[in-house]
Amino acid sequence: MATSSDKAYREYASYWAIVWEQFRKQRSSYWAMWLIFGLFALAIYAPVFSSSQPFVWRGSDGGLSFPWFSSLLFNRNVFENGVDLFFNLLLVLSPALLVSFLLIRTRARSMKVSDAARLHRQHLLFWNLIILAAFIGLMLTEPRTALPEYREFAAAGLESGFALFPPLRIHYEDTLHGVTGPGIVHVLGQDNAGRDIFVRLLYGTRVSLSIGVIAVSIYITIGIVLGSIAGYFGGRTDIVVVRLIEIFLCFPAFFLILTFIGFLDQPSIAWVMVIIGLIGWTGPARLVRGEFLRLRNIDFVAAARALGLSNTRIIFRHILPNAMGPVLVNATFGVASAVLIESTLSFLGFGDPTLPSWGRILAFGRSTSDTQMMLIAGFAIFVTVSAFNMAGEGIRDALDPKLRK
Amino acid sequence: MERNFFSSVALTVVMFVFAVLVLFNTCQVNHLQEHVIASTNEVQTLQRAISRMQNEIESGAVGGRASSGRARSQSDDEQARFFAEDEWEALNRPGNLLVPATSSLWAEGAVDGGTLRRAFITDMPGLNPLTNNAADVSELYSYVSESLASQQRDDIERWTPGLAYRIEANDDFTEYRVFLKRGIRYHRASVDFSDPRYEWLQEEREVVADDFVFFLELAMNPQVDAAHLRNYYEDVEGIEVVNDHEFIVRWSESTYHSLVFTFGLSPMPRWLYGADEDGELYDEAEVGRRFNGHWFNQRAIGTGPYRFVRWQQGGSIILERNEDYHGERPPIERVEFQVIRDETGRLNNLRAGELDFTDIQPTQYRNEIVQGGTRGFETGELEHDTYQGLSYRYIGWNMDTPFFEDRRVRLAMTHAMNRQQMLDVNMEGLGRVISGPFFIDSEENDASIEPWPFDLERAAELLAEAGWEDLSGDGILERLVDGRPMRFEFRMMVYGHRPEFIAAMESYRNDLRRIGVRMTIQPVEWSIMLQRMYEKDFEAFTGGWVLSAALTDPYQIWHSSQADVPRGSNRVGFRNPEADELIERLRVTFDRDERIRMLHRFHAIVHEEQPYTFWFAPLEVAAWRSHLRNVNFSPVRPFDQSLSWFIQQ
Repeated sequence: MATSSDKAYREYASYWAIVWEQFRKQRSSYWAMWLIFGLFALAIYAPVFSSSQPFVWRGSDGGLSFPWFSSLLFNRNVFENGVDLFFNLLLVLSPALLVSFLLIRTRARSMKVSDAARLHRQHLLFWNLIILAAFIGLMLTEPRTALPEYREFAAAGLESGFALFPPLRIHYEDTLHGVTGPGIVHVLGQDNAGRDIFVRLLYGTRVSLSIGVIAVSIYITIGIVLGSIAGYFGGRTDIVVVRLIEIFLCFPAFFLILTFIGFLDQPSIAWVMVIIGLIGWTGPARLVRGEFLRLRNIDFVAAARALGLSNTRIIFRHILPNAMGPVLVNATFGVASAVLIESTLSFLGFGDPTLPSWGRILAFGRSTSDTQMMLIAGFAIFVTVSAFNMAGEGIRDALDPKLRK
Repeated sequence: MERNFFSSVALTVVMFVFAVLVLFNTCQVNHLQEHVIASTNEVQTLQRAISRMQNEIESGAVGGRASSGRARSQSDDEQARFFAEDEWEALNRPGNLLVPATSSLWAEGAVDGGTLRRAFITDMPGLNPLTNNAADVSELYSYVSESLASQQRDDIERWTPGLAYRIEANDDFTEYRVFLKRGIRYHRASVDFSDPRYEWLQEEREVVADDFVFFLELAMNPQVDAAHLRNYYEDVEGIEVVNDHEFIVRWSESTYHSLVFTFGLSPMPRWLYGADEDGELYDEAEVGRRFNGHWFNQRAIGTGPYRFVRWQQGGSIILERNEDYHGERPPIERVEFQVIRDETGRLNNLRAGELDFTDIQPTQYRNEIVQGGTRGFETGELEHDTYQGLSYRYIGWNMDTPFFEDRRVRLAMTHAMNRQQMLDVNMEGLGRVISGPFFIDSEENDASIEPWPFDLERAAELLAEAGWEDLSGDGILERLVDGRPMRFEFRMMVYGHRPEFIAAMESYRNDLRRIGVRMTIQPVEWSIMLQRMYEKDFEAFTGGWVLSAALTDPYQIWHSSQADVPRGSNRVGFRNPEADELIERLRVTFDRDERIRMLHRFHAIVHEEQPYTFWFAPLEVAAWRSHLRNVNFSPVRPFDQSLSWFIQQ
């Protein structure tokens, strides 16, 4: 039997159900969302398609080994940078994630709605912590093992051994000049350094998506905190924050980013994320502040205040969920623009030179006058940015009650 | 507005079609323009052919066909006509450091006349011969002015007369007695003579000994922005003028480079560069200050085979043949330099017939020539050639780091570098693998020393010998330094704007990883690279040196004293007592064979020690329209000077 609070929760949840229904009606946005999921899947499962390491290996000595699996997390000689490591972690944990999600969902069906929501939250938190802890642990320990040239052994012919490779036996840093062996096919050709363009593009998805998502998370977080404080408290706090926003808005964002990057000797991908994150927060901050100004005098807030709830609780539990709509829209567009900014930076030669970013591929194509390479990289950027923009438009329209169909 | 999936798709399709149409249109217009240019050229060619035929009919002569090739060799009698009788006799007297030229600028069947249009690649702030030391300005002056003597362009061992017909030196080469040719006049200054204030420039003046004194005064004047010259001439004690056509250059030390720089002296007319626009001479104290911004700096003057006519600001520089030239006149009558900074623009202009000659960049070489099929080269309308440039590329190993202090490690690094493959794949084959620091086509380079071969197994062996082994089993070599294992991980600084170098280093990195060495590629700006080299904050870098065909002096780059001076050029910290001794002796050795022996020994030392991994000597590429004939290149700068070229009309 449902209690009154459950009912309230249901009605609250049904707001998002309405939004979801509206969103599904926007066909192009709906498909763009699936495209984005597809891109994430590509990014996570890239090593399944191409890696220099065989899944299964039995050498002539008869010992069975699984180099591909250990290379994902425990060999920095294969995957050197953090972005790869993070996505590999997701790849390894994805079956467990899926199973645990399904289990929780079946369990939640028989529970009260509020309990189910709490369970979902805890579940999410649990996995976040696991992934974060594992990632930090791996980054700090930096495990390495020697790299036998499996492909050459395989190409030389295994008399008594056995090897099972991914469809493409190529790592994105391999410089293969005229090396052809079974399984070495260059789908989109090679660049001037002999690296496979398709494989670099595939792994470039990881760079672009992680830049987009992480940079945007950083600035949304900053924006929400500052915006809600300014909007909720008003007065002097508001003035300070708004002036800060105006100061940041005075400078053209891209030049600010270039200046920051210029200070760094070797800008790694993490720095690029942080810098984009530190620059972009003004937009969401203004949106959240506006929403807070609107909401802070509405009855439910007054009621919460009358109940003697703390400011933190009122801000984050009562007002913020109602102010999230515009931020969500801003975030989706933000991802698209972050991908573009990263591509531009890489194109200009800033950013981490060791990563196979799309902008870098584009720049390399331009400087070696390889038109095909430029077109391919440009197309990948175009598709991703468009997908995020289309999804953003869909969310915006779905949130707008005037456009309900 | 109602939006749905299909309208978005329709909009995208329409936009796409529109974009394609725009592209198509642009291509069409380009195509049309090219056609127009081509037809204009054809009409011009026809007109030229007609006028030539008329000439031939009138004169009754029949033109012989030109054959391209090297300049004809020339007999002494032909040379002698450029000198007065006593000068010619003195030129051939023993003790003279100069020898008569043996080749002619006129190839078999060369045609007199025509305009050569070529390109400058940089904008020039001015044309002052001392303060504007850009490569393009030097190239311009190689047409307009002359020095006392010059290397014969097809035989760089011969120093042939320029303004001097005789130069003698004392036993220890500290005193050079120079005899100038008589009657050499400066070109008439390219000023507007309708303006009466330039009346004083009407008179044609002769080159005299004092002009060289003035050159030295200017070069050594600290107010003049010519620091690069002061380095060369700081050891000159002075010039003593005997008479207008004879003077003595005194050097404070006996060094080999005194010879080259004495020969390289060129005159600066005091009556022009020491005077204001009305011909009034400046005060002695003011000369240097006025010289930097001298009113004549937008023009050029000299005594050379070509006369400076005018420089349309931002446009082309026009030279005309000096018909009164005291030496052999070149076949081409007019040379026009257009400033085109963009390499694609230069090639397009060449295609369109706006240029006759241009250099070609490696990527253009690959896309336009090697991959073939592009307009012009396949029809025979354009021709191209490669020639050996006077420079080399290398990887420098910081010998003050624990990685590269050991000779065996540096040798292993060289063995692990597949230089030939990098050249073929990344540099379009434009270069030759080298084993030492000297010009590959000179006698100074010991051709018997073979570059170390690519051999990963040998590299691994050498690293093991040097004490590097994989102690922790992580695939990366380690060595115990002060009881703690140090991994073989180093940074390679690469000049960031050359993708082909980065590409080559990518494959090097993969090869190194196979022998357990971890290299990180750091593409950096040139300024940052320099700064980090000065601060010795590097392990390895890709670099290049430009060579001189006239003088080989390893002191700057290889002497141990240069490793410790701030901003020294011995950036890798090469300190070898035997090499030091050789370098010091080379500076005071004047006997050619002895010098060659010593340079070969030096070459052998650096080959053994491998302070650098000598990478390759790049080949330069040039392309020209095929009516330009006898196009040849010299190892002397400027490599592509056109004096012996001619235009077949």
